[in-house]
Amino acid sequence: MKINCLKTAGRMRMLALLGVFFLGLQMSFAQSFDVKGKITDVSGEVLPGVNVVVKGTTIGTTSDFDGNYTIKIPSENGVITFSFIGFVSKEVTVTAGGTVNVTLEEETIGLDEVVAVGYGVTKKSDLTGSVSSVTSEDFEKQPVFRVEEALQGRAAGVQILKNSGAPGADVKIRIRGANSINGDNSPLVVIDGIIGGDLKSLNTNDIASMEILKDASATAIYGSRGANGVIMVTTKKGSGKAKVDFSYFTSLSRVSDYIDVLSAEEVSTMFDTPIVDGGTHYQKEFFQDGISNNYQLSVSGKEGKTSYFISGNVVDQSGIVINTDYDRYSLRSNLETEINDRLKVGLNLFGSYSKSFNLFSGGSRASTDMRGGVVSVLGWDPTLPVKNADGSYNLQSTYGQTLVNPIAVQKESEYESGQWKLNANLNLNYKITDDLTFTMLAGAMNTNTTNENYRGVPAGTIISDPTGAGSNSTNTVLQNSNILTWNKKFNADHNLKLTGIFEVQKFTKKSMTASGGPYSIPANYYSLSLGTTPSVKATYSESTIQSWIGRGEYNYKNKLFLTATVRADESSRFRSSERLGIFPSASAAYQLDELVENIDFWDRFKLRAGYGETGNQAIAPYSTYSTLATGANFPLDGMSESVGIKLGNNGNPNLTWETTKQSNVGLDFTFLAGRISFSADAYVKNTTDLLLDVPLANYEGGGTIKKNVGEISNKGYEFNVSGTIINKSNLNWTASLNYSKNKNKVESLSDGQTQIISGSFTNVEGGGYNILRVGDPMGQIYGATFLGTYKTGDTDGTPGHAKYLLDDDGNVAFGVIGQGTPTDTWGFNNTITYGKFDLNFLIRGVHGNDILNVSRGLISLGGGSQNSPAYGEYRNHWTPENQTDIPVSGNNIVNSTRYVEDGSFIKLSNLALGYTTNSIKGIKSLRIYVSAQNLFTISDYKGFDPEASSVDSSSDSSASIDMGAFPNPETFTFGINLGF
Amino acid sequence: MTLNIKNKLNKVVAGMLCLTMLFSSCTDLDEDPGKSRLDPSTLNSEEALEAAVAGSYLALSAAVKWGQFWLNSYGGDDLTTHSGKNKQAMREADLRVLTTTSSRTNTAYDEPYKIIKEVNNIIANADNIEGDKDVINRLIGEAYFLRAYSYFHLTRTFGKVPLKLNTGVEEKLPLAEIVDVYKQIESDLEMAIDLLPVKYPKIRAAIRPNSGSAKAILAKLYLHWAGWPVKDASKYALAASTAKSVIDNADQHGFALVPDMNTLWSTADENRFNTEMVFGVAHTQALGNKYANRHTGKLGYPGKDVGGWAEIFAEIAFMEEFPEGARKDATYRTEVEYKGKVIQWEDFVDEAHPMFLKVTGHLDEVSTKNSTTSMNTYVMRYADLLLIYAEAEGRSGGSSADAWEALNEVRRRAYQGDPDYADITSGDLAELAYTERKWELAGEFKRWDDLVRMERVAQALPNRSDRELVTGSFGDLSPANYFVPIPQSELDKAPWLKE
Repeated sequence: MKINCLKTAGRMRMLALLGVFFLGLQMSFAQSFDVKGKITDVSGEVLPGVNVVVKGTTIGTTSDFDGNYTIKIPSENGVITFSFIGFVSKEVTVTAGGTVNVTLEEETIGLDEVVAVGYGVTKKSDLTGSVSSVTSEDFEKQPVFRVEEALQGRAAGVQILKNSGAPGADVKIRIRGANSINGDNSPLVVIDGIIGGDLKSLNTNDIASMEILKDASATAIYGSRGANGVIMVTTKKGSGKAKVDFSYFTSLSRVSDYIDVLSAEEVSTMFDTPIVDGGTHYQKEFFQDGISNNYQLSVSGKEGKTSYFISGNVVDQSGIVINTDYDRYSLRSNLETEINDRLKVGLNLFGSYSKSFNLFSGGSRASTDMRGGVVSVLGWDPTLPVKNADGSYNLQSTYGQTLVNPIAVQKESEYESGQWKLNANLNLNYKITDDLTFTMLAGAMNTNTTNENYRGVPAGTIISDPTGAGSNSTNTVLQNSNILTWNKKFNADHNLKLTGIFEVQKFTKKSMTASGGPYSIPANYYSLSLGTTPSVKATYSESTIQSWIGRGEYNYKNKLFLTATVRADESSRFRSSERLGIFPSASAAYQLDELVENIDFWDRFKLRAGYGETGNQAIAPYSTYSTLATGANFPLDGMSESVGIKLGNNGNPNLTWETTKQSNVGLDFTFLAGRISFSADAYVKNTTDLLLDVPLANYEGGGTIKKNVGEISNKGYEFNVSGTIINKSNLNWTASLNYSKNKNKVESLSDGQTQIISGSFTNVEGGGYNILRVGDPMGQIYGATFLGTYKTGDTDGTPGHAKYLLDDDGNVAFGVIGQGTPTDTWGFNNTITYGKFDLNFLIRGVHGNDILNVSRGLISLGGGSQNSPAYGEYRNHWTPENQTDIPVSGNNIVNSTRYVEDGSFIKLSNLALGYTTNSIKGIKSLRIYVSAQNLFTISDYKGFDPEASSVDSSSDSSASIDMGAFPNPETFTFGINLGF
Repeated sequence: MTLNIKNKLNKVVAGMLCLTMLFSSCTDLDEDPGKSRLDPSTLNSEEALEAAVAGSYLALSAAVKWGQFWLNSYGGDDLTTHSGKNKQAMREADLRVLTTTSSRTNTAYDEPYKIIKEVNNIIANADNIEGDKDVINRLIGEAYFLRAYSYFHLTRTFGKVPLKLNTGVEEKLPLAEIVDVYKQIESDLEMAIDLLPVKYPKIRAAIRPNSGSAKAILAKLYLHWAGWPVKDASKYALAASTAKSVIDNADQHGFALVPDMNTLWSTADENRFNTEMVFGVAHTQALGNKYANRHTGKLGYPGKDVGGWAEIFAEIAFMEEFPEGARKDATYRTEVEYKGKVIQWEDFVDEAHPMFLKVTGHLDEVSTKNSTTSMNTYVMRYADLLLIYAEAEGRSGGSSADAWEALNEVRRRAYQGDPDYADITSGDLAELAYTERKWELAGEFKRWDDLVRMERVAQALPNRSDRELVTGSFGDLSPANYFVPIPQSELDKAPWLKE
């Protein structure tokens, strides 16, 4: 390690010397002169009103009515920038006075936008990799305060699923499928160059654009962390005159339909039990109309050489489940100043505070108890009132669920989670020479989370005293990136850009948890010391990644584009011999103008191809070390606790990076004068050395060991078509359609292993429900084949009992019974503008996956924590007279074909009608709108919402399980945007 | 801008560049796990060893607190379960139709192996520990004892099981022959007998084993070894002599029958810590539900009638045949007082079954809705040991006065207050003791084991009252179906264990 370290220091010192040397070169004398000329377009028409600016200064003018300009150049050479709306900007270097006539080319829509590509920007037309771009214009017609929702359905190859309708819940994002079984498959988020940002806390109004780097030639620049794709967020900067924007919306959300469960009357008749006090519709008690309010205010502009963007956002949301809410407050200040024509310094500050109330497990369930929440609401005894006549809760019932009354649990739960996020990043940009630029990025992100938890009626099967617990955690990320860019044009044809980067990122996590246990005197969280069985816990971890990165970009005549990158990452999470990962990539693009020159139909046609390698360090710090774990105390004398320890993690010192190799080919073309553009990509990804939690046999105590084994592949294609369907003076219709198909396959597992089965439900028949099998996709559902019921006269089973396919030994036969991961996703976005009115609608589709409806499974028959069936279907159960296929008894195998359902859906994600005017005095622009989200869903799914899932948003090895998942609501919104 | 300012500015930038270098150079990439975690090598002191033993007991308590830990024992003719609700697995055991996919069998399988994992680690580190030799010995002795008990439970439930004896992982083990499992248990118990003290210091009852506890379990192992499936009849004599050596030293070990059997199910401290426990767990609900007994209290009461969970009921025919007397009164409950009303078991709606006092506990201590109690789980009571001695002696052809006395000791308490009571001193000692076990240990998940080792399942189970509600036809009652199939969750991970 020491050698490595010295090398690093040595190289950096050289870099510093180089910098100082170039600084010295710049100390020369200034001399001024005048330049004049005429500006025309390609057809020779004069262009009045063109902005003419000496680059890096405030010296500027505009062309007169005849297209003429005159400008003073302050030093002995300078660059004049000519810019005009609708035309491609042009820069001309001048070294002496005289006449410079300029011809400006008309801009083709979209293609000359500048996009972020990681440690730099490039013109969209110069891209060699596969990058999708979403700008604020794309989603401003949709009332969203979550960035993830703004991305939903808008970029090809990007799948965004809202697994939970809980306020503040995590959102699942996948770019071109999942690569890792064990690791997080969520893409890397880079906000203004700082790696590892969090989309959840961002204010949508702060976002200027988002680039999604999809193929490895684009993501390899992020090396060990690029395997899942990269979402690069660029926040807004101020420009022009001071501007004030205000927007507000309020919305009403509700669960679209109730699940059909047995009514109080039915339960009363079937199980011979009286209805007390009219009984209860437990779903009506549990769900409510949620109200959200969102306020966004921003001020931006540029004064002299300093630009500013300052914004604030308040979100106040109450959930569709009683006693849940989410608030978020955020502030941002982006400042940038040009100190001189070479040096630019910017500082972005972002702070947010969010508070969620009764949000469990990132929203993937609605109760602390795995078995509780929605499942418990559906399964509870409807003949009983929530409260007894004396006002006390009716906590338990002998029918339905054995869990404590879910309404009491929910109403008496006070689980507040507050999160502070503070991000600061300094951006220093220095032009050492005209060709050489040094950029330094120093960033700090701090997340501080405080959970305060008091449960008046604890969840579970036991009626127990109130409990209290709390925790505090602090995560700190420090990043320093040093970027040296050298860009040189050799005569008119060759353009070369070289980038060298050294980067260090350090992560620290600390936490402290204190639990009071049951209180003998009911109180509140802050009386934690009333707890009768207190316990404490503290954790700490740190890790570091150190990286060297190089990139070369070359273009020939703006026709042939080549990009090559290499990144070397060293992660502290691996032992020194396994630590270094080298991730190279190369890509090329060719502009086929020549070929189609004589055909007016095509405007541009570009072919792209690339290959790259990326990695994933999908393990937690210290995973290579075995440990003894605390938390195994036991009263050895039967009276008082003694300290206890147990075996912890099984460390594996040989762990190393997961590597994903990806090849991509793509083409982009625009035709009909830029009215229609089309982009398509096809890719093959192979992830090897998968970091896998290999399950250990239960005779070894169960648990897992992490190993680098196996291989996963993803193959797919995606395309995006967007165009202007109608373009008239008062009627404009633009539409864009994106579609992606991905096929995932497990290529191999650990030595000699062909399948890994995992997951199971507490005290419910059936064993594991997930299977990873060689040759099949990840996230398949494993289980039994349901054959209805045994009928009267059958000799192989009891009539009325559930019947399953058996194997030769007479045991239930298990196999793959469903495909858990979607294969096809698409989005269709439309904006129609008619005069001052605009209409936007976004339709999304997800296809090809099955869902294991565990919620339905658990309540269809007694078993687990369910004493008697609650699902509506049971009213038509088997009887000797009516021999249906709905069992009255027998094994209720939840992972059986009985509960596997088609998970495909089509949703009208957004429908918005707006009215915009700028004719009100004192107001620059005003837009008012009404909208609806999730207004309709086309799906065969019998649960609340096919999009909702109980699987953690970071996991893919077990997909599409609905065990009381929190449904996405339908939402109606009214909003107003004001600009001053 | 003048040259001067520009120059200065450039110097500032150059300075910042250098600062950057400083900030980012020389990063140490080697982890220091010791900063936040316990290294396994820290298991090297008396104190750490004691903590590891506590961790093992936590695993033991987490196992035996669940009724399904003894799922196979629902097959006994002494107890049954509810005809519906979520008791499918218990019903399947009751009717002998368990399959690999039956729910809850995994508790009986996984939990003992979790104990084994912890104690294997202790045994592997035995030589690295420094400190008081006596203390270390008894702690290591406990590890051997717990491993022996865990394998004994496993092999009685599943028959052939993998024998995992080290701390390595990914070891592809086959199913060990039952006799080999017995030999391992024997050897572990012999180690425990050597290492454990005659009486465990600073403990109010044998909730930590002494050498007598280890011998007592060994005696039971021999009793099983002599019966089905291994049927090595020579082991009866060993069972008798081993049991006898504990009985002879009962005073030193602190073992004796309690005078009133009722107190065995009491949660009062003076009763929890009693002399009758040869080994067991004193569940300590007061310190949190995680230490509580979860197979008692509410689980033994009917459903709708008094808000119970109706999981463990007494079989009617068995109870009707149960000899009247103090023992019967301390075994069953036939009525319950609820909300001021006394309800007889025949009148229970959900469902009509007698209850075990051994399960419900005493109503003045444990309410009908309490599913987390401090009632003891007895791995072995002294009465059990006395009867092992009497039966083993009888089966090995002996008929000593001591053996008859052991039997009578149990009987005397059972019939105390009965004016017609008389000791028995003649007859088939083995069968008399066997039958005595039936009554003495009813409802304690022990009867099934006795039926199995004597291959009397087919004979006992059909003797059922027609008022029993768990209906459906019995599965195979032959020895071929005595064991629980290894659970699907294990076969998923270790498919080579499929027979």
